[in-house]
Amino acid sequence: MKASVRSSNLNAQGGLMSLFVAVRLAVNDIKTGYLFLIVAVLAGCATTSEMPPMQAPVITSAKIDDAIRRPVPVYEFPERDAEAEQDAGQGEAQGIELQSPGYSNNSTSTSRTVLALLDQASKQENMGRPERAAAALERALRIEPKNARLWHRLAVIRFEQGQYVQAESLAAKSSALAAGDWHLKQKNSEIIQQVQQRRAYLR
Amino acid sequence: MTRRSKRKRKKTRRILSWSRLRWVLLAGVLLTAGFIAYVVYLDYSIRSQFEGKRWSIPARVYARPLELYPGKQISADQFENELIVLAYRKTKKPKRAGHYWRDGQHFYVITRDFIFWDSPEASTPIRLSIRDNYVVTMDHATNGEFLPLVRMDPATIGRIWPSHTEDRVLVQVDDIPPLLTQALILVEDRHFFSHKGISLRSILRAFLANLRAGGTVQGGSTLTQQLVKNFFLSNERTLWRKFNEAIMALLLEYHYEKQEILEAYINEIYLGQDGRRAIHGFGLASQFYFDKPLKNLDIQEVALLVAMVKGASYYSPRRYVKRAMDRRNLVIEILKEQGEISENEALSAKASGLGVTQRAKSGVTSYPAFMDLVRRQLQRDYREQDLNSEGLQIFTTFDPIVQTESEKALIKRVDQLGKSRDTEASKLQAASVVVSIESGEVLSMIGGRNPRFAGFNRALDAVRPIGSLVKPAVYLTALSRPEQYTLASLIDDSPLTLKLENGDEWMPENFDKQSHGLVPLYQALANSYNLSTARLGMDVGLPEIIKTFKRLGVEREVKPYPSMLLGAVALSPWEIAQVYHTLAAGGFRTPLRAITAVLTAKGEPLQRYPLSIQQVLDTSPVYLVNYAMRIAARNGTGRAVYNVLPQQWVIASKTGTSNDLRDSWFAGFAGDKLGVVWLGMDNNEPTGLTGASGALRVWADTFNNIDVALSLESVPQNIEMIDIDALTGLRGGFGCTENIELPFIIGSAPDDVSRCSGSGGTMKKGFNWFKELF
Repeated sequence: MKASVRSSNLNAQGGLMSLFVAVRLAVNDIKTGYLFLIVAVLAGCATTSEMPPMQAPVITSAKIDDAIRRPVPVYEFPERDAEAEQDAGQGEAQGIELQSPGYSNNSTSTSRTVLALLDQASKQENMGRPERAAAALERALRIEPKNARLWHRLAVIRFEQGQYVQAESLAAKSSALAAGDWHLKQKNSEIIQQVQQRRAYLR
Repeated sequence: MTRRSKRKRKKTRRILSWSRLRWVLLAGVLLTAGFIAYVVYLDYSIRSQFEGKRWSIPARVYARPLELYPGKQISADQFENELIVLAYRKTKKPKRAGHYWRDGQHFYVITRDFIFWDSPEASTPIRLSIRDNYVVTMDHATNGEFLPLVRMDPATIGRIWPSHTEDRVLVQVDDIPPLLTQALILVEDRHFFSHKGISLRSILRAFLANLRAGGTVQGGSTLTQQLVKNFFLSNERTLWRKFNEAIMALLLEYHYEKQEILEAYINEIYLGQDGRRAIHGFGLASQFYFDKPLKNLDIQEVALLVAMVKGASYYSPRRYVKRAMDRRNLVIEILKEQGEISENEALSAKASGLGVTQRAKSGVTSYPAFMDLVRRQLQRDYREQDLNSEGLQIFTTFDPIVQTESEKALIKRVDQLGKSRDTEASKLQAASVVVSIESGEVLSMIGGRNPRFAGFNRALDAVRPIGSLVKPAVYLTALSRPEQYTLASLIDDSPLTLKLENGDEWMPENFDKQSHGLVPLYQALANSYNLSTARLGMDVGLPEIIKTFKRLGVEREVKPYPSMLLGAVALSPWEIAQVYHTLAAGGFRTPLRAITAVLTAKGEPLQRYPLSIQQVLDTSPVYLVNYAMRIAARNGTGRAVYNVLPQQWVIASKTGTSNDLRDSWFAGFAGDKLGVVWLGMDNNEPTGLTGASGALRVWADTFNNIDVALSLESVPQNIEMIDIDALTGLRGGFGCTENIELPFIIGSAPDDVSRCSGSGGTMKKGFNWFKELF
């Protein structure tokens, strides 16, 4: 999830920033509405009926908090095998259909799209074609440009190709977008550390 | 002649003296030698023609392929427009690749297969529904499976032309529809696969037919002879020419396989004229007349092209509809008679209209500014001659939808602005660039108020004073020292005098000619105050600001003169796009790209231009500057964007106006896109426009009609939000009415709390609760 607004921000009264966030969330309708839906579905909450998908939900800061604090498993990341990914994707799609028949949601469906590309990237990588894998990841980035995990994957490929400077910047980019995903940030730091160690060694 | 025969002649015909015979012999030998030399010459010229012409194909430049997936933002009309651009045929029952049907918001499309750099994309029948400008469902049309992603074939946006005026779309044997080969052979040269270059049978048949008709109704030329004729375009019909053609036809057949000759024929034959551009080959003719690839032509379309072989101008389907129709139907009839098509197919083919596109697509590219950029980026890696002869396939980042919307916005606004001012409407010029933020891909480019006109490309070459667009670099340099400056720091906006390099004194002024006393830093940027900016800039130091500038991506040398602080620096819209891109991307610099990959004519990967990024600035100060630019859009110099765009958009922007209103600039980003617009006069006369009253309007209209994928931003880890009293720059206290929440690098926020409820003044944060007790 891309959001990383801290709770303190949201509790502040009359602050311009919180106003921005609230308004943005409120009217950035479809996407946000569905994010909540997914959160709700996956967390087993019973709040979905309050937020019909087609209209802008009224969002109090408490609710925003809820959505933001909880890591939203929009989809799992790819290091798993392709089969598991597919299952995960289908599960989500079914969940969504139950909630809003006939109207698929941006986040989930896009994720399946990105999953398909990640799958393609893995296959290319396994066939020893890292550059084609990178091209597939770039395609995915055009669809979800702020997906920190995609940037991380690209960093890993560049690292393995020996393009250390790129790997370092890509890992930093991933971390800049990773918000509260500490695990991912940790992995990015490892890449950056390794690059820096190499640099020191080369000197 | 052999010796024996000579002797024989001597015996029988004594009258012929030896000396005479010698002359005859010599003449004979010379003639034979001359003839052989001539044949060798013909052989050389025909072979060089054959080899050379076959591969002289300009590079073809593609737009980005449209990626379709559930959740993709696109309107039904935009999608249909894309299909039309790609020459998909609208038909109630789509049967083959390149057909589609639209029913309101629902589409049934059979995509074409295409080879991309990373992988081939197979033709897929898809059912797709769009609602509220989003693709909501996308399924496989026959098996109903969910489709996560389908990539359309990319539109051709132009070719890189050689200096001469021939154009070609290379077609290889595999791409040639079998029906075309059959039709050509049946109509033009039935014995093609059996003759040796010339066909006596055909000549005789033609001779008899012409005799019967009392004029030339049939030609006896084989396909090989026609090919030779096309190599040496000249219309003289002499016996000598025919003789040459025949010899060269025999030579061609001797050297090359039938398939090679057929391929060359299909790529060479003359099929029309587009101004100065000759249309050679079925591949280009297919694009020229039907606006789609050869392999996607229907029966009647193949028949029409074959019909035109006999005389492309005489049977021109655009000029002589009846004539072309009659001959096309004749070809269809022959195909039916020979069992190539069924009775029904023939009937429906004959019943169809000619189906040629209304206006011939001009050979001149429709997007000259973007093509100019592509050419420049390619020239770093390729020689000019390779670009216009090797038939390379260039894949670009060009987005036709973004380009179209940018053009619409720019043309409309520039016309309005030109008229409503004192300036002569026709002189107001413009340029715009839109790029995607994270990938640094150039989506659109306009080089002048007439986007079709391939003249001066202002987006790349109009190097003009950037006015206040320079300010974010000044503020970024300051904010990179959190211990010294924050968004809440009060800076002095009172009048000042600067000593210039040449000893002159310079007194900058604010746009409103007022000074604003002490102002919080974020307000000075949001309202683009000159006095406080000049003072701040002198304080952080010009060399430091230039360093920031370089990091942001300016390659041009910038002199450390104080006047640079207020925008005396001259840059092109392209360079501004690079600078603001680095800001928008959070301090990660990506050289802006127009090209993603280059493939050979045969679809083999040649080169890829991958996404590359470099972290050049710390993310936190960049976040702070961007935040101030958001306030500029919300309440400051850029606030007019919200007259057009929805309030919930988060837009960061900066206006720029040069001295005497000569240049009107606007740079802004929202969601995943960044746009830069410039307006001004080529002769540098004042336009009467500020950044806000000119370029901003174009920008807002553009962004109002393109997909900007708004998303929640990511806040750097070490940023905290704190309520600040805008009047004092201190923490907002009880009763403060002018509070604003601002981001701070952790630890840099002011400690003091503003006391708004009482008689004013401040108190230490720690004592706040204490005071409240009383």
